[in-house]
Amino acid sequence: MSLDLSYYEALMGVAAAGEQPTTATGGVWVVALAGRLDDGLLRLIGKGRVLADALGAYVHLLMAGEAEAADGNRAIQAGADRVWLARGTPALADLVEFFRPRGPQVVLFPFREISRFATRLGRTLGPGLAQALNGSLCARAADLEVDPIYQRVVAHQPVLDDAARQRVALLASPAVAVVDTTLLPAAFNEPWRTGTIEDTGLTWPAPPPSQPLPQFGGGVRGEGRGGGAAPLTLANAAVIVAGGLGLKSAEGFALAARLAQALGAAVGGDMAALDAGWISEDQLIGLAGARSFAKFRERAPRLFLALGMDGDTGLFMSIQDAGLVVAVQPDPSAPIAAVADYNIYADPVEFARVLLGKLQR
Amino acid sequence: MRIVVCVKQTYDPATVKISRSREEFDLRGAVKIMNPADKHALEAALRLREAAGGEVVALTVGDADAEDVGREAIAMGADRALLIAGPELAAATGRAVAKALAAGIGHLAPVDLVLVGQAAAVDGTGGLAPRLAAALGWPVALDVLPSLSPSSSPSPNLGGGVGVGAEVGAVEAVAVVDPGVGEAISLPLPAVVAIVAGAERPRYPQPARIANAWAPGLLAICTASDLGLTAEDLAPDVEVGGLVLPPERTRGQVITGPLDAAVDELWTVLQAQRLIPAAAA
Ligand SMILES: Cc1cc2nc3c(=O)[nH]c(=O)nc-3n(C[C@H](O)[C@H](O)[C@H](O)COP(=O)(O)OP(=O)(O)OC[C@H]3O[C@@H](n4cnc5c(N)ncnc54)[C@H](O)[C@@H]3O)c2cc1C
Ligand SMILES: Nc1ncnc2c1ncn2[C@@H]1O[C@H](COP(=O)(O)O)[C@@H](O)[C@H]1O
Repeated sequence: MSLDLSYYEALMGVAAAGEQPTTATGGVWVVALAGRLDDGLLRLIGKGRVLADALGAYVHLLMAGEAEAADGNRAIQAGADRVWLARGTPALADLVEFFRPRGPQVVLFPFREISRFATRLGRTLGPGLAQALNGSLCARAADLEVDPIYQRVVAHQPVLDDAARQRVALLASPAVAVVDTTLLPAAFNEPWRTGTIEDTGLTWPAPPPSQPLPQFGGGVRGEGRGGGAAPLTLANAAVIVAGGLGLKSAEGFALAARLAQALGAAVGGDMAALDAGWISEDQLIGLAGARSFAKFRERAPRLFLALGMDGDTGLFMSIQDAGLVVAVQPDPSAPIAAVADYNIYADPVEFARVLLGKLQR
Repeated sequence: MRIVVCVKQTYDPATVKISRSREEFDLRGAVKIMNPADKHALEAALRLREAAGGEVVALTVGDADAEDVGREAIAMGADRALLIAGPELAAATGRAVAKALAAGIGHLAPVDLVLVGQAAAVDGTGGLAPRLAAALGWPVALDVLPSLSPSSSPSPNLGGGVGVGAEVGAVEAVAVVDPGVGEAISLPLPAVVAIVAGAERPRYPQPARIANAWAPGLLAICTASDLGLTAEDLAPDVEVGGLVLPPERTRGQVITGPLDAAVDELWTVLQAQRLIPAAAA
């Protein structure tokens, strides 16, 4: 093994990093495009603050849309040093023109903004900006950190439907990341922070009015958070909620189905549930079912929630690849108790009601 | 109209394992397939060709193995395929792949529409479509369902179809906004569109087409330097490190206490395993 000198040089450089930032260019930028500050953006500003402190840089917030000074003050309390206001929604060319002379070190976009119809802005403009400025990109980051040795920004990118996260070091400058803000720690709210609010004087055209189609049908949460309209089945769902006789009645099962909907899960059941008429044949789990060991290959669920099921070999074979098995039923000696990762010995109907209440809050 | 579909060879996610001790993917049993979203993109292109006429070209950047997905695309119905391969692409990251695809599209000019999959299986992020659009200087739409309709000019009215062979100036489509909620969009051409899985299955290759896919002249292979790309263009923009893994599982654990508290505890577990979004708390 040869000695890596760059490592040593980088180590020597670390001491300088903590100093007060001075330059007019560079910096960590957060881009808010929907015109309002939601909690996700405040969390993103906090993440930008943490990165900037490690890099020795300022945190800038570019706020487009109908941003107001009050939003700017809240952003400063959340960790921004400088807030830049603009009107309208920038096209990629506008954003490139804005950023090119400013030479940002890091640019962060939210994966999803407050307004439903702005969800694609960050995911469109972030990667576009990275390409146009010949920078580096993580188009979907769950977290970000600064490598203490090389002083590089490292993104944590979900892989295999977030079963794990891959570290991705962003080498080229600017380092652009589109960040899933729902996964970030809570926002800072520190009244002692100071900062400046500046108007860029820029007015970009208003975005074209969107044309929502609320009932285009068949749409359910599919692969990833990008959405999709492939029907959710036992074979492709990341989460499965399955019910057995322990749910006692059709009403009990309907509650489990509502819980499944709230979790973005597919609904299944065992032979007893089929006999009771609660499920159709393509929802059957077990040796003869749609999700039998032999028939299932498409994808293992990451979470299998068994409500009111004692379990048997057929069930266990069908779910053996599941990431996490949670069983809710009253009997500690039921076969499923030894197979499940987590057991709650309780009435499954009550459980569904409590969890559903918590999800809908 | 000429439609280019970017198809990528990925690992079948059902065959990719994670090695906890090494904190990396275990690819020993992994099987290479055509990225599932790309099959939907190809299906969308084939239907558009049926409606408006023209040609569908599959374009892929990869290693020698990627020839398989080019042949598979031809077997599914693409008119021809272009494979950009070579050792200088072995370490290509997103930035370089976008540049190589843009160069390939330039080589195939004139191109009216480029379809890509929204995200790759295993480790996709959906960054490629906007990157490619930026490299081409074209507009882009994300999260689009595979049913695209051709129209003669950009207009907000859905369904203004055109006949086969007529001038197509725009495509109209539905972008998924939320589960069950869509947005009507109209894109002037040329444009890049990222396709998500739709309700219909992509067609299977016909046996006759499978045999035909190996006929000479259907699949062209070129290198990055043939397309004028330099080593600087292809330099990696990111470096991939190890995996960060959630806590390990143990069977047979029991959560006791009153139901409310038990549900709270389960909630914490599910959050730690990233099975419930933090924002829902
Ligand atoms: C040939 C054959 C093929 C089979 N194929 C399948 C298959 O493809 N898929 C499959 O899932 N199973 C299959 N089975 C197994 C059989 O259907 C299961 O025993 C049954 O599904 C178990 O139901 P359960 O999980 O609800 O557990 P149960 O043992 O029924 O108990 C679950 C809970 O329900 C409650 N409960 C049970 N019975 C009652 C009752 N009568 N009234 C009120 N509450 C009650 C209890 O609280 C219990 O905790 C097969 C069996 C045979 C013989
Ligand atoms: N090497 C490649 N060759 C052709 N198309 C690609 C390649 N990489 C990515 N794509 C396209 O970009 C989409 C998204 O891929 P990714 O950016 O890896 O998530 C894929 O579905 C393909 O359509």
